[in-house]
Amino acid sequence: MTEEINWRTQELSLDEVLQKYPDVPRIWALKVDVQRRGVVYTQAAKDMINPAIHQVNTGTIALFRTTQDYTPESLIMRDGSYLITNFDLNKNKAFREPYVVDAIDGHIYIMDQGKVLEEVWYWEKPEFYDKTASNGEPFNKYIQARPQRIDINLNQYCHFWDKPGEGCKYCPMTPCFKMRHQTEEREETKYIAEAVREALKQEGRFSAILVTGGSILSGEHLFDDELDAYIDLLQAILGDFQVERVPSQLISSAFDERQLERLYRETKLMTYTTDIEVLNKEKFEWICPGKAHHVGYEEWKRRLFAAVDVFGRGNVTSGVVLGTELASPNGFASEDEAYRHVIEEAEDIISHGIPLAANVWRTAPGAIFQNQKNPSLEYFIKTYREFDRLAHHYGVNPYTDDYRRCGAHPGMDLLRI
Amino acid sequence: MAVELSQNIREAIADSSSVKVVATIGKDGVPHAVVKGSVSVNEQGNIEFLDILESSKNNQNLVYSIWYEKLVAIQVFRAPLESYEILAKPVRSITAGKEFEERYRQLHEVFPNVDLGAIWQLEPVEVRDERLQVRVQEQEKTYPILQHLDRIL
Ligand code: SF4
Repeated sequence: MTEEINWRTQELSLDEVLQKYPDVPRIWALKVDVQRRGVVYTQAAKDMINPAIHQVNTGTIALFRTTQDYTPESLIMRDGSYLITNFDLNKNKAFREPYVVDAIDGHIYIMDQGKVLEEVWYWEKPEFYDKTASNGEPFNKYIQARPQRIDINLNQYCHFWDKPGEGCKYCPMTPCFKMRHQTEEREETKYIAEAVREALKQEGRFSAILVTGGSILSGEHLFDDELDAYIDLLQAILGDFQVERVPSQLISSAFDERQLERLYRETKLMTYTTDIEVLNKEKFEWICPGKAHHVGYEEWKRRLFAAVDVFGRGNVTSGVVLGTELASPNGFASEDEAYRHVIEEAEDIISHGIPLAANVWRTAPGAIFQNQKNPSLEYFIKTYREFDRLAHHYGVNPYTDDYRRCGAHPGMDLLRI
Repeated sequence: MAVELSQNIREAIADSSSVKVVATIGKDGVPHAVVKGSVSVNEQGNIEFLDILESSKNNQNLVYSIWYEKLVAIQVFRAPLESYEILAKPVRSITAGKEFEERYRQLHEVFPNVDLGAIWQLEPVEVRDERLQVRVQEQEKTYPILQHLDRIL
């Protein structure tokens, strides 16, 4: 693995960042850094996997991966939060050493430079992972699981990639779809619904359902076919619940008011997310050219705000791939400049009652940005800390995309207190 | 440093008629106390209880405590006069997995209409015998100046 030899001297370490920002919890800062640098598993750690109990990366559909290793799907921390580690590492251009997951005396730890940092546990697999649908296919072909959430990726291809150069530059989903030589974009709703019914038999396992997928641009109006597909699916999987709104989340393209009204009226969906991705108009236009071309930054934001009127304050969030605004060559020239712009824009969105579910940007193999270097730990900590101050100030906690319903947006963990 | 809970305390905790109160502080520094019938001692000798409401002040404060290494006070009272205070460090919050599901099912057998937020595990670091007669004797021995004169005339 090629790392920059002196990378540790070029940026503040975890300890130094904690000294500079003593108000952030150590366990949380480590989590951010693990997401930033990635992890590798020692053989001893792999030997701790019990395939009868644990969820393993082999055999499930991983939409964002080019490789499938025999490693645990992800980790659970002692504060009850989940640490998503099931992403590809760019082994040819890692820039920094990943953290190591090792086993000592029957316990599993995150380590760095031989030092034990935190005890962790592996995710347990749900019972439906060992069962098959009525057509004989494994259920986990249709739906996947996080420790408390059912994940459904409806469209596994994103049509912003139809026109060369219009896909989001950090996103590996469609490149991976092509690398797998996959032809079917979508699984049948009937089997997805069957899988969800089976999954829900396990008492205490699931507290949320996430539905998402790549954008579909076709239809009478832009995204109409995508909306129809989601309504059809949501009716099939949420229809049986005896409540008006089911704890569930849709992450989709930015629907306009008419589409949002339909989505709300025709389904039992509780929360809605549409990802602004990059918190700056100019950088968004460079990084997400398809979204910029078909909808535009200001219009995407306007639709996001309109969703609050339909779904209610606290029931709308927006995803951000934090750090991409610093990609080269057109990103911000410095972390300080990026921070100023990002926070200003974040406040505008959060003040509308929309918390930001920001991922730590990792340079995923297959993505256009695969050989880029992501920002320093200090940048992520400082920015998440400010997002949290704003979310507390404007008083919104969505209880989605958080420490247990998701695990991929460490900033949301801070809303626990 | 972890301390071992004595047999007396374990019995008092296990007695379903005893009252167990968990007291925490959060980032605002305001104390919060709640009666927790589910307090028990697990195989490792740690205190364990269920937090039913994920959005509760108790859960928030426990997260604050595990993040910033703050202690939690657990008061155990068994009639007529038995009383202990255990100071404990939160070591783990279990929010998923077989253990969580097992407790979720057990909880539903007793309270079918509630959810389960988390199982909290806390390591005892200090135990104080809070029985009145023990505390009175302690004070008289350690601080003989602290008493009204008419009592000793
Ligand atoms: S909209 Fe962008 S981030 Fe979302 S799937 Fe398409 S390319 Fe990826």
